[in-house]
Amino acid sequence: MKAAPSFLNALRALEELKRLVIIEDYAIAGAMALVFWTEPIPTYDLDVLVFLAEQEKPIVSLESIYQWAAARGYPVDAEHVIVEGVPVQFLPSHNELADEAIKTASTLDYEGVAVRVVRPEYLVALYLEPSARTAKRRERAAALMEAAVTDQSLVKKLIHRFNLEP
Amino acid sequence: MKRRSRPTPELMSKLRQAKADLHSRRTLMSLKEKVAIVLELQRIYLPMLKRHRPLAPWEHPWDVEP
Repeated sequence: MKAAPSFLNALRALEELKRLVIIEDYAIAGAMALVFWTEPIPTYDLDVLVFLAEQEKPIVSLESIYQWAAARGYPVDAEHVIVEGVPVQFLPSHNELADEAIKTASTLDYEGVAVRVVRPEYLVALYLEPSARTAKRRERAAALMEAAVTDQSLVKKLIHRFNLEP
Repeated sequence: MKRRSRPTPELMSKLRQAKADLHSRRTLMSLKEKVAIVLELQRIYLPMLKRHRPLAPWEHPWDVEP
């Protein structure tokens, strides 16, 4: 009998992607990462930054993830893969900041499952990227800056290194 | 204009501290408890969001266990 959809099983599926070498590594980003570090806020999808396994084509394609999803019976809807009932948006790492966010992600324990989560300092930096800067994202960056878990000096360094000043 | 009585700075400070404590307690919850609250928030917020704008296809409460 198939297990009932659960957030836990969605996290297990991310680990499976890594085990099958469809992705090299991943880290949860976006609002759900913020929930892990601070307090619950409403969110409707799970953003996952990924290093896709080496591809021969110069342009990154999510085809391998879509093939895995089809084999598992996970539907795809508006660029989201519905993994165990959770809409997941896989975001290929788009620049050096995102690369570092994945590489330096923390491994947290969710009910016995290891889960990679972008560190709060990198979440702030990602929220401040000019291409992604919206009022909501600035608000989330501000909330993270107030969190005890955030290393303010590292945020300042990231803002300087990646030219993220307003 | 009618002159209203105002709360004391002490009362305002106490109220703000209580709110900060609430945020702090929620931050310290287990991850599973936080995810359970996210699921609950989805059920509460989505009907309100729907009144303001059309929802994207993935914007629906997750029918999952934490």
